[in-house]
Amino acid sequence: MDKPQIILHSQKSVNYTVFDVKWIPTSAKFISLGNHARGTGALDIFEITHGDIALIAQHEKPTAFKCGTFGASPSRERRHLATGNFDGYIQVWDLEKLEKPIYSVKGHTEIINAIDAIGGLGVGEGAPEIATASRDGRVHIWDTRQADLPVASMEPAEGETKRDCWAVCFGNSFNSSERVVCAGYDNGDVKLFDLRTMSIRWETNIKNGVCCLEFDRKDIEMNKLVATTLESKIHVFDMRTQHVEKGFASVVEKAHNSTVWIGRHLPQNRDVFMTCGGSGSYYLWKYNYPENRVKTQTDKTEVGVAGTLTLLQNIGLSTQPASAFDWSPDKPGLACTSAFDQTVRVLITTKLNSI
Amino acid sequence: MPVIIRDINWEETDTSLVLHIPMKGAKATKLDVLSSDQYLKVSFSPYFYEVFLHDLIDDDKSRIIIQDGFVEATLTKQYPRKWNQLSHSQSDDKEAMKIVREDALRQIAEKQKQRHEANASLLNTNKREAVREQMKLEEDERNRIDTIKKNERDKISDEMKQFEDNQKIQRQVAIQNHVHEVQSQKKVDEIEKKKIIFEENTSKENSRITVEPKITAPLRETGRIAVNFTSRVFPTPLRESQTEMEDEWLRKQIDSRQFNTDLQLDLSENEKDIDYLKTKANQFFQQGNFQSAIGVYSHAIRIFPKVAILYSNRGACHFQVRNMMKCVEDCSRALELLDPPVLDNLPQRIKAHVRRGTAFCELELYAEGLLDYEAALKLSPDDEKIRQDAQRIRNFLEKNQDFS
Repeated sequence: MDKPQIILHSQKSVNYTVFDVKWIPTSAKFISLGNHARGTGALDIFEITHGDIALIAQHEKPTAFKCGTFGASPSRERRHLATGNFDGYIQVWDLEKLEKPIYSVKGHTEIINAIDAIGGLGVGEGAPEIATASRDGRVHIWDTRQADLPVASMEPAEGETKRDCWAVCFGNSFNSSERVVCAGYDNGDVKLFDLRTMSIRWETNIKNGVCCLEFDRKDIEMNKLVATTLESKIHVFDMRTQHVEKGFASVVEKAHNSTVWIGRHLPQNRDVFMTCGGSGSYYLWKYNYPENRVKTQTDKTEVGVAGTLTLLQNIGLSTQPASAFDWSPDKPGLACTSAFDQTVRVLITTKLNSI
Repeated sequence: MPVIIRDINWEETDTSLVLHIPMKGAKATKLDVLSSDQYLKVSFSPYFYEVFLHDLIDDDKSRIIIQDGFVEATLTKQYPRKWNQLSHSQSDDKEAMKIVREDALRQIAEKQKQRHEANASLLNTNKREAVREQMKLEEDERNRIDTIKKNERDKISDEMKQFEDNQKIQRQVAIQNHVHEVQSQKKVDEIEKKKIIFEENTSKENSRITVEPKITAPLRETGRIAVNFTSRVFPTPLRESQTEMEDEWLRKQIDSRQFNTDLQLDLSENEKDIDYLKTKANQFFQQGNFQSAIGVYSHAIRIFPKVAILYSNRGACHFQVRNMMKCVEDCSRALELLDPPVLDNLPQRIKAHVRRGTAFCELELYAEGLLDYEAALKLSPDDEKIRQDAQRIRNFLEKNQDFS
């Protein structure tokens, strides 16, 4: 019994479909974003008290929310939540004053599927930016100091039929000029855009629609990228060595027996991550590096070597897909999660320091 | 012919009786004994010995051993008393003997059965015992794991309480700092205001001076990257398990578009264009001129024999002129061509099933019609009309079965 245990701490039923949950930085509170049956957006704030989840505040907005992030908050005390909604609006809210957003723009013509932010919360260097991915096939980068127009956009070329963009994430932001954005599409495309050179750094197709992408750390030189897809596949790419033709080395695992909706790295250990599946199951993985991460080939070029994944623990908590998951940055092992059975849950994973 | 042994010796006490039967050179392995509580038969071919005992013996406690060429039978009496004679008085009566023999055999058979049942029930209890043990072991294991989990949970609730309290304290500290800063700012303000002669509007908003850290990084220059996607014909997301079927369907579509070049007909350009032919046939259909529509479709089918929609539509025309058998044939051919079943050809498949089902019902082949309707329902479970029609056919079939 030295394996980490995933324990359900508490759960709470809500009366709307929950699409995203996120911890509020430096607190025992988390927010949930979702869609009421009447089509309006739900933004609830919960707190963990006395071993249970208590609803502190409830807000209803005209359009349903799909995703949110605190990553571009100016400081850990002043929390700004960036959200994407079903109408393609990206809005930034100050949690102290939720009546009106402090920034709002109709950034996309269709629903915003995923959002990621970087540069805030005192983490990393460079301007705070927000990336949004939408069904209109575009990825836009926003800065709250510039209204109406994105600071960067990745759009389908002229005459190209658009594909749904399902996932987006920031990475490689180890100094004030370097930054990359990775986007995943429903036809299995994964594309890495370099924001410093405004070009595509790498693209590949992983044969199944990409549900989620995450770098193990956003503020270091890019190390590992996890891509979770349809058909129960999890890909982990070693992003340190790029080969001209072969790209990045990767390892593939099959798990959950259903769509893998989310992959999230533990903030306290970048080699441990949790994946959540369409069968309501949660799998905790550890990535093991190979002996040599780089291999020199006969033609003197270097190619990366992917490691292996070990499954540390798994638990099934729901019958519906687990759609959102967030590790708490303050307490190791504490996580909030939600599923399509209209429940938010708080999980605790133990013995993580023994890994 | 078995030989009866008559020269036996016997002794008795109050409680038991010993018989000595000479074996006359026969092998011990060939010995066969049959005994009940008043009958004993010992046979070792070709000799045999039987006796109808004077009184009852306890069959279970009696023993037979082989010693020195004699078969020694030690029989324990049921009633301890001297018999003075070995065989029963009626021993010479053949009829009586026969009855006795039959009784004995019956008794032996019953005893066998009882023993068998006792064994079986013993086996059952043992099995149940084993299962119970197993369950107990598993229960123990489960309990052990549960206690470990419970311990973890308890440890965690303590940690969580600490965490919550910490966070609250941190929030308090942050608020205190905020308030202090505001107060010090207010003090500065007041000093400044004293210098000002006329009153300024010191609205509440000014007193809440937010200490915002300025974002020092420069705004990014607007840029744009043009993206090309890996081509995909279908609008649905890519799934590895579906790729094979999708590829096969695409290949078939491409094949069907190539027209039959075996035909050595002199056709005008129009007559080789499948869309022109389809439009023409459609016009005929709308006007009610079904025979002409059939003609055009048949012509089109000769040129493009693998296009499913042509068969499907010709089937609809046959339906209108009541050629139900031909309608069924055409719909069947269309369904054959709409294989492999991908999302792309789903609406066509549903239509073909419904059409063929209706044609079957018109031909009074209701069972076949129901099969098609159920297939259509499986493909499109939300369609109320199909569900209702299928239910009607089912009811009709049940009613008719009652009569037949």
